[in-house]
Amino acid sequence: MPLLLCHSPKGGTGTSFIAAHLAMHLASQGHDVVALDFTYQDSLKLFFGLLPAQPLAEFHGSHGSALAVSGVEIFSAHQLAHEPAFIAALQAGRSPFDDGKVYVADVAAGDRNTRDLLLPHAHLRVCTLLPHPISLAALTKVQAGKPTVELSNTAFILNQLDDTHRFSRHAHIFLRELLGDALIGTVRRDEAVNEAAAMFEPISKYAPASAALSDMRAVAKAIAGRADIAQATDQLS
Amino acid sequence: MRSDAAHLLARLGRKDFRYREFTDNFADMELWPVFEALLTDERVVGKPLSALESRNVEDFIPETKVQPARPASPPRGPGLFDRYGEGSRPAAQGEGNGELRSFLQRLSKKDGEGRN
Ligand SMILES: Nc1ncnc2c1ncn2[C@@H]1O[C@H](COP(=O)(O)OP(=O)(O)O)[C@@H](O)[C@H]1O
Ligand SMILES: [Mg+2]
Repeated sequence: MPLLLCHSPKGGTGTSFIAAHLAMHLASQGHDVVALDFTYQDSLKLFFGLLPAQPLAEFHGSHGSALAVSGVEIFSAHQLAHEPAFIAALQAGRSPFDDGKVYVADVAAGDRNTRDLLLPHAHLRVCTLLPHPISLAALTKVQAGKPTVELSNTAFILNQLDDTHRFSRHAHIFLRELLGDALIGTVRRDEAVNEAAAMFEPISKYAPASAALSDMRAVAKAIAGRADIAQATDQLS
Repeated sequence: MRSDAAHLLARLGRKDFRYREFTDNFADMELWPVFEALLTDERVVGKPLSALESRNVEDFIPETKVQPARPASPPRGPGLFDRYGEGSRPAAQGEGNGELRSFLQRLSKKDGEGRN
């Protein structure tokens, strides 16, 4: 089943935030969702409301016993991505993601090895941008050897949009033109994201009416559509 | 002021809010040098432009190199996005698939034909 690969060429754009909320949204739609944190940083769990000291199980296929939060099984996969057997299996075309669950992978910006390892198995790459010149400049680095506007399996999200800022507005217009449908949505800058993390609460609990959460729901829905993830209820009936 | 905002402020009994609407359309968008750099970077938009086509692009964005020392007010005026016209948003008109992309595709097609 689908692997959604969350990766951006620039760090700090909200990749982990988006990955966590994508996973929680899909779980709320009835899917069996596994979130895999491939980063050394280990901060994906914070967006689920977990504490830094809360250990995650290592992912060894879907039948491990994981921590489930908001309906999502969360694993660490940073070590796994460096295990020769795992690398060899993926490179040989064998996918551990073929068991009816939806996998959401959070990959660190600088970790191109893991990105390239997972990409052939991914239904969709989700690339998060900020309306900042430094983030836009990283559009030159999304995929070596393939122009960014020609990447067919990539959806871009413009995160931390702030319409009170001129460059933010202009960057939004520019990206709409440059990327067309590949710009799958926008998420407004919202301090509730940080406050929720500071409270160790998911934002759906801390600030259920927040702008970022409602934007994120719309984005997650669009991504599910783009990645062709049918409604879980359709599968049941 | 939009009526829903006026209604909300009335309900809150507040008259001292600062209210401002932020809506930009293509006519208002300024072509910041970072945008131009991306539009002419083959890693972003594909095939490098031939000298002829570069000239064509410069017909569309003639002023982008004029005032590089004033990043706070990037050049306005006749530019790549002019054809969108006043107040029209391509996305709202169902052509959000990237006028720019088709523009660039037209350029690269022309490039291919030129070589054959
Ligand atoms: N829409 C948003 N509004 C406000 N803050 C945000 C938003 N999205 C992310 N953040 C904050 O930005 C920071 C970077 O996000 P993170 O997901 O860790 O980025 P990355 O994984 O790309 O390095 C975090 O502190 C996060 O809380
Ligand atoms: Mg991260």
